[in-house]
Amino acid sequence: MTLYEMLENLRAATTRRRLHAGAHPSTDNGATTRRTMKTESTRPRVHPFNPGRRALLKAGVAGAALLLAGRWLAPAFAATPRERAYAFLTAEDAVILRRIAPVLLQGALPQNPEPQQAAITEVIAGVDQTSVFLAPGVRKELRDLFNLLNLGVTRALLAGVWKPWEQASDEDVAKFLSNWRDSRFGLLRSAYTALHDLVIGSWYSNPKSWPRIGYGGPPTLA
Amino acid sequence: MAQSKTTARRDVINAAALTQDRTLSGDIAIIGTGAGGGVTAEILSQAGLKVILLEEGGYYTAKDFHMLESEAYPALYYDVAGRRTKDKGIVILQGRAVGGSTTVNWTSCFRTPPETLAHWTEAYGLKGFTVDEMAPWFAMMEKRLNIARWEAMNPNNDVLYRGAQKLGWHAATIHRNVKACRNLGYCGTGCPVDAKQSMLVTTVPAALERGATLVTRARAQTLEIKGDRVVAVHAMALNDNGVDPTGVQLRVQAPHVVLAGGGINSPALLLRSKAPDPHHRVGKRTFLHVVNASGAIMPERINPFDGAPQSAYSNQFLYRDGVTGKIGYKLEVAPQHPVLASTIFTRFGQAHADFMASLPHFNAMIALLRDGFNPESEGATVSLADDGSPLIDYPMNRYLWEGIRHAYLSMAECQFAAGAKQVAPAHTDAGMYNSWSEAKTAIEALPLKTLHAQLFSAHVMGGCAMGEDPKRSVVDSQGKHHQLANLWIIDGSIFPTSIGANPSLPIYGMAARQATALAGTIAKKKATA
Repeated sequence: MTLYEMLENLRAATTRRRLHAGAHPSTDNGATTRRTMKTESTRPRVHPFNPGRRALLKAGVAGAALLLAGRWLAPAFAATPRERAYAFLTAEDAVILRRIAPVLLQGALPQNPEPQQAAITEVIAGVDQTSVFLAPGVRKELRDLFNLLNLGVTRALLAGVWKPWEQASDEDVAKFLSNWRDSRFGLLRSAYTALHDLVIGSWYSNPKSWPRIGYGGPPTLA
Repeated sequence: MAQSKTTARRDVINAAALTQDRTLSGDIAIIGTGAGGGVTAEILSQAGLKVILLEEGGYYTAKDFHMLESEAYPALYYDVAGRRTKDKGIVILQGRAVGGSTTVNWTSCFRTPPETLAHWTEAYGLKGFTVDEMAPWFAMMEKRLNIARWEAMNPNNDVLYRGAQKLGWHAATIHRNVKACRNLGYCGTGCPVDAKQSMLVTTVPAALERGATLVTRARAQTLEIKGDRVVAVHAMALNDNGVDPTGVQLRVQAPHVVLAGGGINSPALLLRSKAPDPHHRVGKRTFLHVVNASGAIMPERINPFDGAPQSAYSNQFLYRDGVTGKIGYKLEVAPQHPVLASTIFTRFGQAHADFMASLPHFNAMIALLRDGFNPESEGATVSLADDGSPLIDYPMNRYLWEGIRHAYLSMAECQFAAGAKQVAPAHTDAGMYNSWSEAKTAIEALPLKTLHAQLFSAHVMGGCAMGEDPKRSVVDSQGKHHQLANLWIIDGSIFPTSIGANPSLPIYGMAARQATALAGTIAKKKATA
């Protein structure tokens, strides 16, 4: 599912809620949304806070608009040079992963801070290497997801993390992960799955994770 | 993982290394080197034809296989063993390498069930697919690939075998395509000792010995069609990650073309090529043997990472309501290595860490749903994304969910019967249950929805259905395209329904028959030319 289908979901859900509350969905706003969705491939042409977008916000689809902002503002943010060490991830993505990895992998990583940080560094490198092998369309979805988590406003409203990632507590991160895991929106559930599988899979592909789980590694071929 | 260096004698071109566009020509172009393309390549090269094989994946051999998930999933599978349907609801394990999925499959071999063959003959008018007509072709491939009953059942498979027996259910032993198998348990990451008789070590090398050319890292992009003929295959060279084009283009010219990209890829190529499809059949009725799973913690160590991955199965519920009634399913187990196991358990943090610590005791039972036999089961539709890549849209419905719930129940019952301490259906809303009665009550109340129930597939079938009625099919019973005079499709994509068993041998046997017929057709044409 793309973010745009997510937007549709959100819009449908919002419309349902408003209908419930006795409000009348405006056809104008619906048209605006459809028109906006068609501009998928021409991202920054529309300023994120132009009247069209404001109409969306007024229509009560703030979440949807913010999702769009996550996509369209991203190029400006991504202008920060990437860390050379990564093939796919940006330095900002790595900050997020460094914060969520110890929560996803609580109880699985080395206990002492220094080896734990080293392990997390390897987990992030593994996520990066894996991403290179994904189909371009899948990589694009992953890029959208990281952009959304990178942007303060979407991080706060969609992930519920109101502080920058570096300052988020374990509890904040765990709450965010649980909310997405159990979300009623397919896109958030699948985004959780993506983070879960990438980060946790990266750790368990690392031989350092194996002694704790009773796996001796591949047999030696005599 | 580095690609194998090729021997001088064999004509293997790694397209990733090409710096200039190339044109190749031969008697026949075969797109794909999996179960369909591999068998077809061997038979047609034996018939004296110059075969050009195009393969999207890389050429890896035993010495490249180190039994590591970290190496194998990116190198040998689509999307790092995580290809997904459009709504992300189903994870699809599909091989992408020389040998296709046969390089990474779990070696379980079943002939196409008689019920399936009869249904194809009756409902789709297929010719040559009766049990008797197919038997010699299956026998031929069983001999070619050393397919035989596997007796050394590991404890992970024994959970299913024992549980089924205790309950008085059908339980049996699986046949495998292996030779001097060392029972390592790493079929899924590529066989490190060449025991698995995959296309990688059998038919593809045999075709190369007879002068075939194999081009790897070459993704067939479009068929160039003039009138009712395919005049060329256009492929793009991919770089070493097997995903991104290098910009180098390949053009393959041959009077005959066999498409063998498998479900998903074969229909996608036809769609990209705008091949004639007057009845809009291409990409429709794509089947996945949708799989749900149940995890159990056994009191004893079963080391589910050791030993032949699959050796036991139960057909107790395969035809629980006949062939065309409620959806039936086959019960098997899945091997568990750390990465695969870690993605099955969807919670995180300490709960996940505790689960992983129980890996040596973890049994994952799976149910393969026999999709496509009832009007309520139309399977997936393959369409194209903006970039021309395939999108697989598999809508779930009440008919399918009924089968999923039934299978959750059967698997839990079987696991408890085998002595499980705890059972947890692979479902985001499920807990760990301590008894069959507790599990039964909970499973009956589980909400069955996409992205709640974890669904998998390792078997992609259909999308270019065979049939004698062009209104309902893409190719005829010989695999010949209904509208294009020199195009054949010989792979799992032409199955009109799913199989109801692991589909490798069904593809091998069908391909042997169709490729032999094709060789005869070409010889006849040559003689009269």
